[in-house]
Amino acid sequence: MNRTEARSAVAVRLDGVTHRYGDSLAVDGVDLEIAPGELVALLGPSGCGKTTLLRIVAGLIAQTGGSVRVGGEPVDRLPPNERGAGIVFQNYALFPHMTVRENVGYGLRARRVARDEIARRVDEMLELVRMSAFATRYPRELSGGQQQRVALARTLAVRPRLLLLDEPFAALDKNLRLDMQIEIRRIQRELGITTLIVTHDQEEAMSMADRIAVMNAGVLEQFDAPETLYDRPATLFVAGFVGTANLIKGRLAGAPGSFVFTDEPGTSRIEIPRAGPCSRSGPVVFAARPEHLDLTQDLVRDNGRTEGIPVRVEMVLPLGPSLVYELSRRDGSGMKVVVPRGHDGPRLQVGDQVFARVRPGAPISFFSA
Amino acid sequence: MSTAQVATLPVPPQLPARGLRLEAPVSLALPLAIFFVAFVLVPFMLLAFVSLHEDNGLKTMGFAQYIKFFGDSFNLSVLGDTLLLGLKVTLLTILIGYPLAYLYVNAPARWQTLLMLLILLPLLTSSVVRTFAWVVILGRQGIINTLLLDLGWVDAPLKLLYTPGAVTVALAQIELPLMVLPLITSLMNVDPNLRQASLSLGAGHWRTFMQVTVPLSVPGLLAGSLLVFASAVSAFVTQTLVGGGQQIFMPFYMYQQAIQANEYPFAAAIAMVLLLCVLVIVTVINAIGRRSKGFVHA
Amino acid sequence: MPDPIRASKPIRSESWSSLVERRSFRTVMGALAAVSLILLLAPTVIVIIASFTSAFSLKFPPPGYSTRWYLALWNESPEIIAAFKLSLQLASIATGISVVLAVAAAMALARRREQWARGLEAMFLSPLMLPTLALGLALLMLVNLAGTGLSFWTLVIGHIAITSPYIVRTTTASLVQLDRSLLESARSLGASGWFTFRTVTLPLIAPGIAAGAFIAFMYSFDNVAVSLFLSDARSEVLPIRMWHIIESNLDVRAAAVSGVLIAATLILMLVMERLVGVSRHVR
Repeated sequence: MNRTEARSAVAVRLDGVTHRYGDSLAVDGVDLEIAPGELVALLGPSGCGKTTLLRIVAGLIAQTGGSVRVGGEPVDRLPPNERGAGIVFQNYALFPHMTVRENVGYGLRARRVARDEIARRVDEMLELVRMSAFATRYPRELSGGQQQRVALARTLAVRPRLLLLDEPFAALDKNLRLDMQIEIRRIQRELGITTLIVTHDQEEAMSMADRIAVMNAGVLEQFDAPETLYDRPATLFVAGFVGTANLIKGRLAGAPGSFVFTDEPGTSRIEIPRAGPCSRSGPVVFAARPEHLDLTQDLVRDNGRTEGIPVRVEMVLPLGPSLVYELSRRDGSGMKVVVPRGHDGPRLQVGDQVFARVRPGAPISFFSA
Repeated sequence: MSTAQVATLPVPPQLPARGLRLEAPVSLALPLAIFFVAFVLVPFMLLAFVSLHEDNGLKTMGFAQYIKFFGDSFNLSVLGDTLLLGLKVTLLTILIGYPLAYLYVNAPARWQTLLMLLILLPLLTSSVVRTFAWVVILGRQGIINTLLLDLGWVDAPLKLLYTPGAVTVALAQIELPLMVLPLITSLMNVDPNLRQASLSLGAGHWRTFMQVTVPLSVPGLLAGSLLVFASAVSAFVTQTLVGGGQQIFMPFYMYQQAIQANEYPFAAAIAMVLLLCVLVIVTVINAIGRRSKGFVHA
Repeated sequence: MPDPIRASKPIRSESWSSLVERRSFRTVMGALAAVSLILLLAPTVIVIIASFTSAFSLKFPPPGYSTRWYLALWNESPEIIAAFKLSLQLASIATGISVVLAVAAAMALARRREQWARGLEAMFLSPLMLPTLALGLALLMLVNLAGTGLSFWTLVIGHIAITSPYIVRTTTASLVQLDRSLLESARSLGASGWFTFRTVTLPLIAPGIAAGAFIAFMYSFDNVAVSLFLSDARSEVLPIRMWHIIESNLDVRAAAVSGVLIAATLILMLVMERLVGVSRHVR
């Protein structure tokens, strides 16, 4: 395949996909629309159904409900190879009794492509993943990262419409992981192929994906670009899973323009002009990222009103350009606030009793409790 | 763009999805199944059928053969001797085989291949050859007698062959690999950390062996016992060549009644009794095995 | 303030009782294992030595050594050689047919959890457990009832019944160990079921099949129980011929035959170990 050829990427659409194993629900009514050429990460804790969902899209599992469309056509009755689904397994699944070259050419041999065409494409793929020098080696002679590249070449050799990767970096060590993420991203961009990656590592998802689908217990919590997930989490789970968040239970009162949040014992009070996604008065959970908060020693603001969350400084950790404060509230729960070093205000010490406040304009969230 | 809500397009009618089936078609098992039904199942049913007749012509049905078998003390002694032989051989193989299995498991890898081949060789060698070896060893001019005579411990060669002890010992040696192999498998599945933990807690080597290693190797002991018992009880060649005419066990009895005496219904009854005994014991041992699996795999 | 330096204590080593305990365990187990090993091998070694005797009896140790009995075997024993050829033929054909039937059955049954699959597998493995002598008798009765009479092919049928379990067992074990994702991979790359079997499954389970076939072959070659009932007057297999020799006149040629068989088994075993790693498939 000529890399400069225009490649028509396909969209993927899931409608109400559900899958039951006996009594338990692994995937619960997932609706998802993936744009052509997009790299989407399926992110979530183990057991959330992300691998099941990937296998359903691949055609390895017959889902119990809902439908999958690739490029507009329903593919539920098609096996993986007819859907154009290229799968890279977690353990790479390279055929141990075949050389790298034979592995990469396997799909083409199975489809009875002409011998010289197979040779040409295999060479092309090996060059794409930079494994040309290893063509005559056996999988057992290769390192983890090398095996993964061969697995990728093998899958891409049959020109799938979709690329599906199941926890591709789980078995690699940290440094290699970064390199391979960049590598796969590069290849994906170059080929313009619609890609779905399953991962439990949010850093990985955040750095690689165009959009991330966060899953929890079979349910799709939010499907957005990484920054949106971070700044505007749609659910409490996303707020807590993606990045760190300080979570406080309490009550919301007031109206747009002037909301007031008080915690349960009533010792904390926050004033804020905007509240979302939940803006109704009533019990809520307040969620703020460490860098959205500030620490001050005065309870009373300039405007005369009291505002703040009383905390005690437990630890002060310098981390690069920031200072990380580990704090404890009156009820014993912990909080974390990050401030840039050298910002105005005194440097706090362990044992100081101070107040945490929301920085003006910071995107904090409220979720109905 | 961002939420997980239902799209505005109508949900298409649900086609049942197909998935990927990896299993080979069931029909592949058909040829062997048909063969077994025709040439194993049917013959055994025929055996049972014939055993329920009173004469070779198969004219009258009845339990006469079984009554004849269980009514005669000679027959019962043959059955008893056979089952006892199985028991003795099993116990002896456990005694001799365990240390060998233990040695294998603790040996360095290079030695393990050699040991395994040494254990396998007797298994693959003809049973007639192995029995013959015992005839050579135990005969009047065999190595044991020669040794005893040379040492002056006896004046005349002992009659070692054709004794019950000889059959037991010979069978134990011949069936030894059948006990050792499952034991090795079982011992290799035992977590080596358990032994280390026991030793570091202060239990000596003997206590660790008796209270940790042996109980955890019970599945292997049971599997081996099953194989050894079933083989020992059916070991026609060894029983006859080493046991001689003096001792009769069920296999020879069956052969004699069928081929030499031409009493097919009675021979069939003997075969059925032997079969049922082995089946019962195999079932019992399997049942014990299933119970013990619970505690072995924590 | 650092502690003042004390008079140095002797370095402690293992207590006497612990040493004795450990040594006694190792010694006893080692000794028993050595006895075991000797017991395992001695008979085979003794037979080989006895076969080189120059005397006419099986006196052990032999008074002198010669290869006369091997020569006698080669030159003066047409009936033994005929029996050998027959056994070879029988074992080859029976094992060959068993491989085809057993591998197909193992493919269909391995990894299936349904009751009927477990039941079928139990039936296929039953000859390993049950007295094959009874099967021999039963087959004889079947043959008599059918009125077809005994022949080489009745022998083959009996031998297929007793050899196929070994192949079913090793092939099933190999299939169970096969990584499923290899098959999923092959299928998703576009390979059909048959192509996958030919290019992925079969090459990877071939060692298991070969190991089973090897054991089955040796077992068929050696079998007496079934052959006793199912061979007709013309065809006598080697083990039965040997048995007659041993029972009747304790001909020393029996020792020579044994020697040849042991040597053949040893060589075959080493070859199979090299090619296929038989020892791994037996456990």
